[in-house]
Amino acid sequence: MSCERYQRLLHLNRSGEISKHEADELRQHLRLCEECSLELQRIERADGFIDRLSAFSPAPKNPEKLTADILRRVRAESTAPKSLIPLDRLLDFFLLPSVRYSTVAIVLLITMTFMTQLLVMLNDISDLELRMASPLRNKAAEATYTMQSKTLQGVAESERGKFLKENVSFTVTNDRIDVPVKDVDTFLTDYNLRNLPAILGASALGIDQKTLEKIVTEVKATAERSFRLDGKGA
Amino acid sequence: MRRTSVSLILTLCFLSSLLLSGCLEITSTSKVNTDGSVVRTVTLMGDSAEVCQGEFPIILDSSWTTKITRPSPTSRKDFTLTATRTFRDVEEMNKVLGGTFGRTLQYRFTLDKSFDWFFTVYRYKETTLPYEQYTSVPITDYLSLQELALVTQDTLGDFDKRFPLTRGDSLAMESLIPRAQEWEWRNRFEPIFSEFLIGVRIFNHSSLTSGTVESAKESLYKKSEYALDKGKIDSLRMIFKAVLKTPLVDKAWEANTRGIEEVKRRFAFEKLTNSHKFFTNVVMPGLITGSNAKKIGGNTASWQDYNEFAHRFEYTMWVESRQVNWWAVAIAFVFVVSLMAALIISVLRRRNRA
Repeated sequence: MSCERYQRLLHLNRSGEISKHEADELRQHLRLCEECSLELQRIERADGFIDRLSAFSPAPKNPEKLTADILRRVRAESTAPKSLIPLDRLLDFFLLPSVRYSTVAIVLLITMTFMTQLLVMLNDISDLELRMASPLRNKAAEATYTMQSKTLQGVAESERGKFLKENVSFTVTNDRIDVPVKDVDTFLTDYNLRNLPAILGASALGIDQKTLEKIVTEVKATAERSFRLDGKGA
Repeated sequence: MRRTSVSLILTLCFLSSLLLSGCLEITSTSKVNTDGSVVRTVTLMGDSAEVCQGEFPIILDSSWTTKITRPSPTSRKDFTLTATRTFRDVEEMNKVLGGTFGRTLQYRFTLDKSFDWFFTVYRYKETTLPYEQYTSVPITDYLSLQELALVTQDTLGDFDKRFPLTRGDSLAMESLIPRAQEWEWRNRFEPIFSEFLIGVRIFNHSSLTSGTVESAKESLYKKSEYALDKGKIDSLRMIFKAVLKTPLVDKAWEANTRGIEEVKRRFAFEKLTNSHKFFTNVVMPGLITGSNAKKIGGNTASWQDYNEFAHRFEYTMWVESRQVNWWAVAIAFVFVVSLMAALIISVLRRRNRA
């Protein structure tokens, strides 16, 4: 029998797991084998140490406080990681495509609303400043005169009306004569239409004073001014 | 060509009889607060008699805080009465300044405050009601709608210069001046004639019946035109007596003195109000973004010399302003930044995990 078997029996013998026959064989071998005897001594030292350790019983000074401290630490450590969970969940929520697109849409909507309102306000201020700066601008340009004068129409369509048409701006459409407002004064006022013969010379104008008077009378009787207020027909 | 303005002529008709009347410069300044309250300050400037006499066409009772100042002790001119009152809201203004027709100017106020996300929009309107006392004769009996539009525009153009008529317009207006004047005179004649007729009925004399007077109405008017033009109401008694050829006119006149005096009082009120110059300022919260004011300086809109128009027409002075809601801007900014931060951080975390 080899030493290896007897050394295994040495370990099993500690817990009484070998038979009586094996125990007798082991005793006889130990008398003859120095190596196995040394192994037996090591085992006995180790067992003695273990027995001493087993006999040691730790007794804390204040076991209740120790328990409370341990439980407190356990609770603290168990709750700390949990506080991060909602934030993680929230951030993970933003990874959803629908949430991401919705977020971008909301941001754009808010920004665009602000910009639109700002632009509307600036536009209103700009319109107001424009009106303040040029109150006459848009009103006079929209005015026009319409009148009827068969005499003037006849003159305008004839060769005689050449000088008149060169000096006075008007258009003839069917029976209607339209005069832009900026020229209506030149057309209608006593200082111009009636005095054209004196200014241009009666022969150059080709219209006698009587014809001019007739034109003025017809124009005065039929002149109608149309104008627009604030872009709306009046 | 001479510039003819019907409204100017009509006004001159009044002004011709105003030489002895006072002329105040009445400036109303309304400061609109963000809570809807309005601080109204009325400044009346004139000589000492006008200011101290206290006959104003606007309501200034003991609820107003008043102060009279003058530039130097020796000067009689430019006495200034400053009256201030704070109104809770425009409803209170409407109650206090609503006025009484024929006694004071009548005002109507509205203030709309609307929340528009990043801005709060304020819309303030101040409307003066026409104070022309007698309008029983419709103007459309004498002027066409187109002519009326022309006169209206001309009147607006005179004080606002926003709707300038060309010199050529005066041609069309020349023809309507006599008709406009007649409308003016008939409107003055009608109430006096009506009150006289009541006097005739009260007097109840067989030699002066209401039928006789009514049949002579046109003659009475024709003879009264000059006196009406000059505003000499008392002269009408003599004219009536001459036309009707009976001294009983005096008795009939005196039978309804109260009615005739009321007509005269209302004419006097109209005449006095016409003699004043009116200025209105409105101070708005925030930036002014719209108004029909003639002048805008900072957050103050100003109107002036509008009573020629306001005499016959309802005139609304309006102003709109916007005030930035900084709290809304801040909340929106924080919200947008938070969303953007969450989005960016979540993307970065995913990359780190990968």
